Amino acid sequence: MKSSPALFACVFGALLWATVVYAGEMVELRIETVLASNDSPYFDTRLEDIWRQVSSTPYNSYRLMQEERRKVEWGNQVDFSLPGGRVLQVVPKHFASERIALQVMIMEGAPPTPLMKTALSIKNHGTLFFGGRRHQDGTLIIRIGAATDE
Amino acid sequence: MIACAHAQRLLPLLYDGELESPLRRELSRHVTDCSVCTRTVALLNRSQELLCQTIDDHIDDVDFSGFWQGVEAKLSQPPPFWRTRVSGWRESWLAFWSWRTPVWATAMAVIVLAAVQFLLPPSPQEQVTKSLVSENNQAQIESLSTSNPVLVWNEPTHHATVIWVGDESMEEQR
Amino acid sequence: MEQSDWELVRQCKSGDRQAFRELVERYQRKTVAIAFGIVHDREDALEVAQEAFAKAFTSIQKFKEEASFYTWLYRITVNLAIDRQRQKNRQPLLDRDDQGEGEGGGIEAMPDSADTDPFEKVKDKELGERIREALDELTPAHKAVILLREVEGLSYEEISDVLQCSRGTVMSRLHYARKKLQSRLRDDL
Repeated sequence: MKSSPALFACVFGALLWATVVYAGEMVELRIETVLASNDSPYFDTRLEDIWRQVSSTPYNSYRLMQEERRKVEWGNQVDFSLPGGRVLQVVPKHFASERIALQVMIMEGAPPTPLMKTALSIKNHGTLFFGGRRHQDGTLIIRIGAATDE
Repeated sequence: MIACAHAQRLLPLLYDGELESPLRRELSRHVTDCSVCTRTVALLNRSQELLCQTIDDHIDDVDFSGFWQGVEAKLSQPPPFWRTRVSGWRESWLAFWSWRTPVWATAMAVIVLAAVQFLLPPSPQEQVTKSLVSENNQAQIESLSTSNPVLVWNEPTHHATVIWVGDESMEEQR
Repeated sequence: MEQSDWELVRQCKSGDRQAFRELVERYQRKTVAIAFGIVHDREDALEVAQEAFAKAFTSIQKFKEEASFYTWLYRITVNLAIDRQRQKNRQPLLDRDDQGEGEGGGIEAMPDSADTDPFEKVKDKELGERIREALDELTPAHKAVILLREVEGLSYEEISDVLQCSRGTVMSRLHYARKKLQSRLRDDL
């Protein structure tokens, strides 16, 4: 088996190269959680870039509760903690035709019970909103943004 | 006012200190007035107590006086026989490759082909399709499942999709 | 003044064994407790914990300081304890029974104490046995979650860091492990 070391080196090199190429493929997820209510008119200035979008919902007060960004590899599941012991689970599936395919699940309680599960795709650097769960005296609105440099 | 069924699902989170303060306060108030939830918290508390007690009883009995010496002894052990290990791996690799070489060669060819395919620039036609698609800001929903009432619409300015998963109160509002 | 973990870790990175000894003394009990909860044998737990510390020291350069030292140490401990438990499970049943009777003592081997009430002793032994049975019915991953939460008091975030799994997984495993434990201990609850 004289050819084994050479062949081994080729395969190893190919695998290493493939690993390096694929390791660069990350998608950035950005999650913003907003508490919308009708207490008294208020608009959090940190929501400046999405005020037009969130104002399509019937509230007059919007407060940013939390913001989180994470870089994930394709196919990897990432959990974000939401207010009220909820968990937002996102799996970026793949990137095709300038669109990012995501699997999104919102879970509530212990054990975490799925409240909603969806498979969808959004434009690269695009956003998507989830809302409707009551929290304190208002309702949660969650913005999911996804972007990749591919 | 928090409903008892909802509170029950949040109690482990309350017990574990995983709830933020307004909800924590609301739930704590509910627990003081609800015998069912008080019992659930007591159960969580008691089972933790018993588990800790059992583990502690055994650990209390452990003599830690020679613990560091044990760690030092492990640290001063010669590093794993890397030569033996490497030669062992080599042997096993050679044995492995001797009869699986054709399989690996095929696998390598597939990897290389896939990589080449992946790195090739897209055809012009594909690029046109992409630019058209990129105009569309709406989410394309493949599937959506929930046992709650749900509304889906696109907000008017950027056409981003809004998925509204309501609770019982949404039905009332409608 | 007591030095923080981070300060000690930095000193360890420059080869200071005395600093590492401080870390060992700080976490030896907790580490043995975690290992014991998984392997159910004191001697094995001590061995696993010492091995975990030795491994931590030899790979301290790889430790990134954005994480906390103890979650990293617990991760090493949990992995070694799970490996040890798997090896043990592969041994013939006779060997395992022999070990249970040995001086190291399993979870059922309670310390002899002259001033302990015999009734309490029997009760404690039975309770210890039921807890062992409940833990035995869990997978190593479920065991690790409940020990890290209930015994070590780690947050969900820290547990997910130790076990390299998502928060949702931590919550599901914890719920399942608690239910199992409660069903075994229902007479004592």
